[in-house]
Amino acid sequence: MGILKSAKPDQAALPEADRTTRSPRPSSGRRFGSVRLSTFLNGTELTLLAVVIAVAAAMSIWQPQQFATTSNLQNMAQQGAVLAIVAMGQMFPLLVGGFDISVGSLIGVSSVVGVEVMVHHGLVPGLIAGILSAGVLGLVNGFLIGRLELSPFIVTLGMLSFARGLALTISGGAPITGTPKSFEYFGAHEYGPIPGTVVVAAGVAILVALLLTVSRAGLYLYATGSNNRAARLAGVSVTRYTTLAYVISGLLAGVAGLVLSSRLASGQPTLGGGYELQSIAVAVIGGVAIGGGKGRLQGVLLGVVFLTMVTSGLNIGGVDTFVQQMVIGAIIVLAVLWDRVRIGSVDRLLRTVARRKPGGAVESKA
Amino acid sequence: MSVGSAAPLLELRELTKRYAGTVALDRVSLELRAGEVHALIGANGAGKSTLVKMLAGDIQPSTGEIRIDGEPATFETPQDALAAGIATIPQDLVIAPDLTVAENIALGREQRLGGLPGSVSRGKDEHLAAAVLARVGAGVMPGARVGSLSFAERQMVAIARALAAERRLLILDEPTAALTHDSAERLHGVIRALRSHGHAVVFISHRLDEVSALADRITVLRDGCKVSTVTPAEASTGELIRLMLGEAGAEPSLREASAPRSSGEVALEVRGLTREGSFDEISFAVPRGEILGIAGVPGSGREQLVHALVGAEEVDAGEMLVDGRPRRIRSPGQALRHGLLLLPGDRARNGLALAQSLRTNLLLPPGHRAASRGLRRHRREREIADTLLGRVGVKPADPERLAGELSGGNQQRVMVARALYARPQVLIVDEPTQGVDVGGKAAIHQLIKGFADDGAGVIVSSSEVEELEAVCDRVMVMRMGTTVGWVEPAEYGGERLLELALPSAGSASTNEQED
Repeated sequence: MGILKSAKPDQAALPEADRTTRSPRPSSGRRFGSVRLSTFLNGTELTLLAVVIAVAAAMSIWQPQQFATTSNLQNMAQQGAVLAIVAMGQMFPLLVGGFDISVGSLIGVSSVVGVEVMVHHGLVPGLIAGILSAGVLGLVNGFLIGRLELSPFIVTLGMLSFARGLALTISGGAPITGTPKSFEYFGAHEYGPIPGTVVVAAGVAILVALLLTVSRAGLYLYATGSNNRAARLAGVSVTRYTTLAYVISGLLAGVAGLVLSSRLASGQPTLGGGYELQSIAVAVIGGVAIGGGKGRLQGVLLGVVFLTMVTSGLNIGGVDTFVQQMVIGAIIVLAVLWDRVRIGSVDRLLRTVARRKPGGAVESKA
Repeated sequence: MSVGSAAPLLELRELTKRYAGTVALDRVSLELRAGEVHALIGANGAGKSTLVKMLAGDIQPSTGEIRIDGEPATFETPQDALAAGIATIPQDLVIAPDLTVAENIALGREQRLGGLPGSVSRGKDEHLAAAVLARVGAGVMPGARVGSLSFAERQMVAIARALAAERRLLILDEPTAALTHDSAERLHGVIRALRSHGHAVVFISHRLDEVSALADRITVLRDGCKVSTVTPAEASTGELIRLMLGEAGAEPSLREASAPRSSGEVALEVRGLTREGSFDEISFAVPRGEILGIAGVPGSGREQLVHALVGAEEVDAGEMLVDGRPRRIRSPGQALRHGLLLLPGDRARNGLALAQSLRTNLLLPPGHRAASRGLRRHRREREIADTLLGRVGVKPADPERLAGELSGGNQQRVMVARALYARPQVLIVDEPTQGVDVGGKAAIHQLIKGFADDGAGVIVSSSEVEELEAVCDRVMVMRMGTTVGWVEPAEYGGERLLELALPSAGSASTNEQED
């Protein structure tokens, strides 16, 4: 909340200032021809980009033989791409003021349903079945949260357990093998130096970008999360857009499930555990507000790059996996804290504390 | 009054609050003595809430001074005000419904069990709560869950909580606005008990009869200035109204009886609309080209009614005809498809997405003309937004600005611009000029009239008499959920509207104060 409110002045202040001096029409400052970095990245995202570059530089110097190698870059890209697909989906429930902790389990469902259908009916029906199975479960989430107004936490927690159980039931608890050869193009294959997962993730990113910027639905998703009551009174069906958010989250978890299955050449019921928390983490690191209404694709993707790079760096640096978890946990909290420092709410907090202490900077007006 | 006694409990000297360009409170001076009930009255926008917020430490005065017991005090945070012994009891009580009365009263100051750190002695807490409740004669059980209490009883709990914390000055913001007559009487008893125990009470009310019956002194604010401080004996209800409204009552701000624009076609007809506990058997018709006013103080059911008209509140009975056809409207989205749009009051909560751009806010109503087949055309959107902002006079007319950066008046213009965009057949506006300065008001009124001139049926719901008289062709007056009367333009300018809206039970001056 604090972020949301205090973000206003500096977000608009920057472009505002040069718009008035440069252009007669206020809105023309956003046209091409005057492209600058700040057109694409806001403050949070710029900071994150700087941190990403710094981390990359530091790692390249520290571990020149291991970090900036083709194989490690491909490796990171592969891992990051799957997380990116899930996180782009996660972004939607976050935008409308909720979240989806069932995405990890939906990955498992899509994996076993997709591969099972694929084995018996061929590649394309398998892909469709995998994605739709997760999408349908997302629709159930959306109906319960959007229409019946149940808590997102409870609903998706229930779905987390239900979907995992469903995946295990369908597969009998064992991996499903026998995928067609062509399935590898959906993730395992490398297009030149570019891993297939990255190609899929890029495709998803384009669709998400279009949805958020040029579809009417994008407008209503932001409005719903920003002020639910106001959007509803303006005539927006907030039920519909809340539901839509969870459907998208489910569909993209389904895509991620298939991509992972392609790399493993099998359907795995236990696939996807851990993605629920990682996807929320990268979104938050990238500036998506818990509570809704604020968040952009650029931020989420930068968050993914950052987390993937840090994880890889810790691995290469030989940091114990248990310790890695602690580091990642600290980073999530620090990222949000840093964002507040940047925006100034911590500054205010510190000032308040200072004022309480005797001898603190008390402004006394005569 | 014992002359030469100690300094007044609270003294305000030339308190002024300026916001960008407007003066919300202009050099208001006031004295409050211990054992005094002081009423604060004034029309909407007179500066009552600004004054209260300053005393609560929510906002700081631009200039002027607050003195407690003769000593200058600054309230930079609400904690400072509490520490000085001032408790504010707002309309939306901050109280935990799932805790008991005693727990709420003791919250943050629990008694320890045998002095053990971290322990809570529920017995001692209940004992203390019972004592405080008894002191003010509030018949509330300390063990009751607060969620099960009536609104009046919750207020008593909030008052008792302030007493348990030994606050000396209690500020009650419209404590009785939403109360029935009997509950209000009980609360009056509590307020009298506070006075007899030497507390100072400031209370804000729109009910002039209770003001006269309860207050020792009454301060009237108008347009941010103190008009005067009087005793109930010095001013009748009628005089209080005149003080509140100034000469405005006599101003010819009437809607000029332009040639009846109404074509006779009824845009919206409502028959026997009822929602239990909110409004009862409401019927009216709005012809095309006419502006119907709905008057009523907060709590009269007016707000719920306008929300129900667009399906944002459920109704229990009654029917609505839009363009002569019966319609069941279950959501604002459906209402819009039938041509009904509500511009809600309380913009920050119900009206605007403050963290989003003006463009987003303007283009919210579906039926997005800037889009084709669900795809947005940003350039077209900006053009539309530019035009709309220009038409309502938002300056600077920058569609990319965030709604939260605008002043209240400009935000309200954005709301009106949204209606221009949605082009409703029936426009319903709740509190169209809340927090809008005088110049802005006239402009917004003009815009609203424009909708009627273009053939829409318009409903203006407001608690401001001048506003209703300035724009409406006739006014329906609501009180406690029912229609209590209609006021025609011939009766504008007098006190009829206020008399109907306020439950003035004649002269109930049974106050027993000395002075």
